[in-house]
Amino acid sequence: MFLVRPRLVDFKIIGYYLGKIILGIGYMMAIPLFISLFNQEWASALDFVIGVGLSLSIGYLLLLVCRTGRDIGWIHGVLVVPVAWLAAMVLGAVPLYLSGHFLSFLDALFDTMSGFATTGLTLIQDLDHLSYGHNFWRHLTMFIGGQGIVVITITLIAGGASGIYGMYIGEAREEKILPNLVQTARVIWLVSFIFLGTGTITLWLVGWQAGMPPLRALFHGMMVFMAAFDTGGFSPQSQSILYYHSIAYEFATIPFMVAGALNFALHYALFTGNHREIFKNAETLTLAITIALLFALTAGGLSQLGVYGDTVSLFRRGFYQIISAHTGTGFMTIYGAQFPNLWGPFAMLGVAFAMGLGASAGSTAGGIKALRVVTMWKSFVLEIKRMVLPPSAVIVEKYHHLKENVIEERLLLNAFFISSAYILTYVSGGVIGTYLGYPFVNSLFESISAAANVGLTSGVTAPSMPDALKVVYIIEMWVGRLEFLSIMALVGYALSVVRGK
Amino acid sequence: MIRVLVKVLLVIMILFALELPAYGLTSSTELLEDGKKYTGKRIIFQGEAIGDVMKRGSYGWVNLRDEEIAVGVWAPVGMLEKIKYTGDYDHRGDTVEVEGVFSQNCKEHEGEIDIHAESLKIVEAGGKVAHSVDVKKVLVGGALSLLALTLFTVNRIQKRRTVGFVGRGLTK
Repeated sequence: MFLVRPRLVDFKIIGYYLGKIILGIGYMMAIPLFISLFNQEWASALDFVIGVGLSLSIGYLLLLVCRTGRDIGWIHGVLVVPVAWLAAMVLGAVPLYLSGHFLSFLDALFDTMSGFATTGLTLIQDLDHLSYGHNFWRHLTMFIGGQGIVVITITLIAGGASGIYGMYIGEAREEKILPNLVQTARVIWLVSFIFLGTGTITLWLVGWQAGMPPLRALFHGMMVFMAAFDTGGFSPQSQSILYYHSIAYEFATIPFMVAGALNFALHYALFTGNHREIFKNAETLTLAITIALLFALTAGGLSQLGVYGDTVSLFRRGFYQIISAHTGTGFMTIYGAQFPNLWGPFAMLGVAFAMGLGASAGSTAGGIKALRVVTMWKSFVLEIKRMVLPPSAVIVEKYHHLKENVIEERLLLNAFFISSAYILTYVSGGVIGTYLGYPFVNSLFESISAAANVGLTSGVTAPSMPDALKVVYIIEMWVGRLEFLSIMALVGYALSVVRGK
Repeated sequence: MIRVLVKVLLVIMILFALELPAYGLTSSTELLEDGKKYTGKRIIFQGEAIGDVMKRGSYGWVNLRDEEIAVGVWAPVGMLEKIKYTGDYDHRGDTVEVEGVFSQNCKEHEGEIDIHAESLKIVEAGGKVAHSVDVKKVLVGGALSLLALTLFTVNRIQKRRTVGFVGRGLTK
C-alpha cells in the first residue's frame, strides 16, 4: 500500500487544534481551583495553580508554534482526538498526583483516563480524606469526558470547517442533532446543564434527608450527579453509593444513570415535544429488553446460591448493579470483592454481559451499544427471510431511530467491525490479566469493565496490581471510549510518518 | 441436684453466648472474604469514623474504615453522639470500636453488609489536620503562571498581527 508521508503543515494543523483543546482543559481546571479556594484548602489550590499554569503554557505555546493559515481537514480532525485525549490524561493527572493520594504518576494517569473516559475504576489512596477541590476535579473529568473533550472545543470554536466534523466523529459521535455542528454541540451542553440542575437539586435533597449536613449533601449531590449522568461511576467516598446506606439515594441515582445512557438526539426529540419517540425508539426498546433479560439471569444466579434471603434484598442489590452495569456507570452497592466471593460466576456473567453491551449510541456510555445490537439482530432476521422467501422477493428490514432507517450493508459492516473490536479487546484484557496471575473470571470481568467504560470491579483494580495491567486498562479505557476508529487512524498516520513517501 | 446443676450451666453458657463476641477484633478484609462465617455473629470492629454521621430517627449510620475498607455501622443515636470528629480533608476522625452483630446481607437493610452495634467506644480521639503549604509548589506554580501569562500575551500580539496583515490584504 502506498502511504503519503505527512508534511510539516499537517503536524502544525494538528498541533494548533491540540493546543486549543489543551487550553480548554486548562480553563476547566480553574473550576476546582476556585472550589479549593472557596473551601480554604490552600495546599490543594496550589496543585491546581500548577495544573492550570502548565496546561495554559503548553496550550499557548502550541498555538504560537503551530499557527498556520491552513484550515483543518477531515483527517486532521480525526487525528487530533486520540492525541488530545492522551494530552488531557497527562495534564489532568498533574494536580491529582500532587495531592499525594497516589502511589505513582502512573496511578494518577490511570484515574484521569478513567475519569475522562467515564469509566470509574480508581487507584486513589485514602479517598475519604481527599480535598473538595481534588474530588471535584475527579468528577469534573467525567462531565468533560462524557459530553466530549472535543465537544467543548467545538462549542467554543465557531466555524464549519470539515475537520471540525472529523473531530466530532473521532470522538465516537456520529449523529448530528441539528444540521450545524456548533448548534449540535450546544444542544448537548444545554441538555447536560438542564440535567445538572435537576440532578444536583434532587440528590442534594435526598442526601440531606438521609442525614447529611446541607452543604456536604449539596456537594455530594453535584458530584454524584456528574458521575451518574455521565455514566462515570466515581464517587466522593471510597464506598461508592454504599456510603449513603439509603434506598432513596440509590433509587434517586437511577433516572440520571438511565438519562445519561440515552442518545442526546433522543433527549432533544423529547425536549422538543416528540414524547412518543421514547416508546418507538429501537435503542430504548432494546435496552429495556436486555435489562430485563440480564436482570433475570443475574437474579437466577443469586437465587441459585441463595445469596439474598428475600426478594426485596435481591431486587435492591441485583437490579441496581444491572442498571449500573448496563448504563456503563459503575456505581456499586456491594463491595468489589463480593462479586467473586458472594455473587459467584453465574450472577457475574449477567453483570458482565450488561457491561459489555453498554447503552445507547450518542450517549455518555460506552460498550458495544444498543444501536449496533439492533443492526446486527435485524441483519440476522434479514438473512433468515432471504433463506425462507423466494429469490424474487424484495426484502427490506427497518428499525426506528428518530426516523425509519433501512438496514444497509455499510451500517452492518460498521456494527460488526466495532462490536468485534470490543469483544477482542474484552478478551485480550482478560487473557493478559490471567497471565499476570488473576483468576480468568475476575480478569475478564475487569477487562470488560475497563473497555466498556463501566467501572465495576471484582477487586482486580488496586494500587498493588502490576504496572503492566494498569497500562493495559488505560489503553482499554482510551480505545473503548473513542471506539477504535480514530485510534486506528492514528496508527495509520504513525506508519505513514515512518514508511510514507 | 444434677438437673439443677445442668440447668445452671446451660443458663451460664447461654449468657456467655449472648454477652461474649464470637470473634475478637475482626478486620474488614476478613469480613469481606469470609462473610458467611461471620454473618449473624457478634464481632468487634475498629476503625476511623469517616465522612458523616447520618441520623435516621432514633438510629443512624456511621462508616468506619480500618486499614483496608470502610464498613457501615448501624447504631442508636445515643451511641453515635459519642463521635466528635469524622475523617475528611481537614480532620482525622475518631478511632471507634464497636461490638455488634455482623451481616453480609442484612435483612433489615435489604442485603446491606453492615454491623448492628450494641456498644461503641472511642479508642482514640480525632482532631483537626493541618496542611502546610509547600514552598516548592508556590515557586513552581508562580513560575508557570507567569509563563502562561507571557505566552498568552505573545499569542495575542501574534494573532493581532496576523489578522492585521490579512485585513489589509498583505497576506493570503
